[in-house]
Amino acid sequence: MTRIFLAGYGGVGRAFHDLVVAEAASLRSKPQVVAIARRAGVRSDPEGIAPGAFDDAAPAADTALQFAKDGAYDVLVELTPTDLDTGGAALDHVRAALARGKHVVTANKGPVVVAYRELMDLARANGARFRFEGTVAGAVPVLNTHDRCLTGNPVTRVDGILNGTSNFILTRMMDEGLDFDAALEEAQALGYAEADPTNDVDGYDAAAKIVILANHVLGLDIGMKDVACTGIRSVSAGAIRLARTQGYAIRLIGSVDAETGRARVAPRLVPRTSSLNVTGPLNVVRYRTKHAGPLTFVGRGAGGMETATAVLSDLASLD
Amino acid sequence: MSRVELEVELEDRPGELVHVLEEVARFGGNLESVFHERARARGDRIPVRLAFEMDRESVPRFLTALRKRARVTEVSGSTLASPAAYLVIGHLFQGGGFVAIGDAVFQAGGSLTRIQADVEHEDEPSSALFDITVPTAEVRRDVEQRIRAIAEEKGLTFLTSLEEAA
Repeated sequence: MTRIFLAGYGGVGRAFHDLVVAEAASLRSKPQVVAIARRAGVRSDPEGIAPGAFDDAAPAADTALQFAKDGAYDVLVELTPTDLDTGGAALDHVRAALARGKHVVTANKGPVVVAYRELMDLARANGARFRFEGTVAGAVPVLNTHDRCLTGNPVTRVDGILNGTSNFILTRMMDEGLDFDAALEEAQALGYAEADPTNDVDGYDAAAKIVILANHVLGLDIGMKDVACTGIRSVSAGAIRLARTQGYAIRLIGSVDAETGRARVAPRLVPRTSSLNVTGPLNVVRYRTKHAGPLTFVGRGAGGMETATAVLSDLASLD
Repeated sequence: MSRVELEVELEDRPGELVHVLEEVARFGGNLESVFHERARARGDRIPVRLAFEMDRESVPRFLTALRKRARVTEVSGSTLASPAAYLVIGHLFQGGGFVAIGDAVFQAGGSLTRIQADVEHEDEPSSALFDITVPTAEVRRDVEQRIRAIAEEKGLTFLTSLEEAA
């Protein structure tokens, strides 16, 4: 049995807990959640914890960091809130676990964006694995596909739509002729956008994913400051209408090129017939490969259960 | 070999045209025609149209060299041109951005094939879609750099078209 320490119990954390219980039989390691860290503290039970069992429990004394350092577990599943500037508490949790030789699986972009090289080196030095499929494009398996299936066929360039919220907004503007503010309001009402939509509509969330793809898939060494980033706030209904009459959609595209090292996120004109022109909250990633041309992956890029499936696939890769 | 047609503006003094023809020869170009259009003189500058054949690979370096000696106002050639589209959003007409962008395309050696604009109200941001052709990737980069600089200076949003993967 693989003992899981689940740090972070929001939408993705709860979905992952449900999923790992439902699908435990399909994993060789028979994973079981033995500890859960929430804001109130850590509760643990070596016999395993059922979903919802701790919802009404009194706060515990341990902090997530303390348990990461000395608790009894095999894999840290790190799903606390994202901090793209510092990596946040998650970075400390990941460091503590890897330093002990514990595997880490995360959907939290913060530590991967801020300290990719350090954490990969730390994992290697301690015989642990560090996996983060859920950080990019939700349920779409772009990192594991690269790691497992593209040996000997290097990816030379990545283009994609990596933020479902901004893509939903642009789609509504295009389909209904809404202006940006009205489409944002609708996205917020439907739960696609947060009250503070900055990370989504100004391109920072997509830029973080470009950093992860650049470093992990293209072997570059870049950070957030290296991504030229333009969001979608200035895209007007008139501009979308004009583009549409000429056979284009406007999409927020993240791109990084291995040869030039140039990384950017910006609204671009995308031919409506292009495989990159996906609609609604979908994500799309296109790898340009050295020996086989383009490979394109499309799917749901956000959502608790969708992201949880990526976390579970990382867990399965540790088997 | 590629057939190239271009227009340069030359100062009205002896020897200017010779410099241009020297560059064509230096890059292995085979001249077909020279058309000296004194009737279309712009101030003391005279447009001259050239047509020649040149090895496709040599064209970008030739254009770079030529621009150091003359103002290239147009480049076209059926085997060379590749299309690109740019969308610019903002107060395009009040601040002179619209005209500056058109000029920048010509100055870099691209050709405008179509411009369409969406203007709702003069106080609201408008948008314009520029369809252009460029003879080389180098010219395309130059066009984009020039438009990007104009957009930054005038507070406009500049969108490029995504190239399809080869």
